[in-house]
Amino acid sequence: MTQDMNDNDLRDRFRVLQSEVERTAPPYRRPANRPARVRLAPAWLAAAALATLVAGAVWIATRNGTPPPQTLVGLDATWWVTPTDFLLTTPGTDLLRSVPTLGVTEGAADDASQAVNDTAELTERTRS
Amino acid sequence: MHRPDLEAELERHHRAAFGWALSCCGWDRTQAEDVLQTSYLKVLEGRATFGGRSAFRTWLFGVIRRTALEQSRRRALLRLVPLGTVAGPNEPRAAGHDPVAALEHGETTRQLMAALEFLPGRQREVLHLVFYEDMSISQAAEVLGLGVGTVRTHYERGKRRLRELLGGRGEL
Repeated sequence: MTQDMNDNDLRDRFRVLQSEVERTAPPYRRPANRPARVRLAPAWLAAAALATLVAGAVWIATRNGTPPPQTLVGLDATWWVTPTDFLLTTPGTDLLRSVPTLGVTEGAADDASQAVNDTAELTERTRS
Repeated sequence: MHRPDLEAELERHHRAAFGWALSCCGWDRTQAEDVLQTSYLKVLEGRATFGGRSAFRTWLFGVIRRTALEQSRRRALLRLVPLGTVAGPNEPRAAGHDPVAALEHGETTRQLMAALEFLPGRQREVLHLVFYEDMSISQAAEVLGLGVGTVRTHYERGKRRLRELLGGRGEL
């Protein structure tokens, strides 16, 4: 075989291959029909999926819309005073609870003196 | 086109289609027959519809080529072997597959088939369509779904490479 082989020589080689292949080719036989598959059209699939989604959404919405059973508890039942609650009451609590107003001195001075008196009275009571 | 007409056309092109299926399946006869039957079913069941825009043979060869590619991919997935060893029509052949030994041929044919194995898939397909199936470059382009210029390039390169292989190697 030489490098200057032309197209006809290539064609001849393929012809030989063709004749050998076609000699052993199986005869044409009608392909057997396969059982028809149940195929859903894409539109039907989409509709079915949409219906499922809607049904699910409705179910979830219905479930969340029903208010959960509520237990009513009176406020009285939740009010409880601890036995040591009195310890939280310290002298001068009133002073701490009130907010002094800037520029107003009269009432504040009176309140302060009253608080001092209360403290002294309480101390005396404790001693006695 | 009605079913009897389709069947008549399939029967008329059957031998040529078998050669093309063999080429698409790396000269594996069993796979080629399977691909051919699947392609015929596609045509007869209407899953592949002939639109009349090209010659029936050109269109049929396109169907066969696509079917061979699909089955090659399916086999590759099913086997779960290293994907590189399963070759499609456009890929280099697997190392363990010996298509020359699969069919009994004369010396000339054996050399040609062995040389074709060294060509890239596209070049091999183009040369087969032009020389084996007697198609023009534009018909081969239709079958392969490529541009005419691209196919011409594959044709020229394939011929040059095939000549080198057949002339330079002597015994392949």
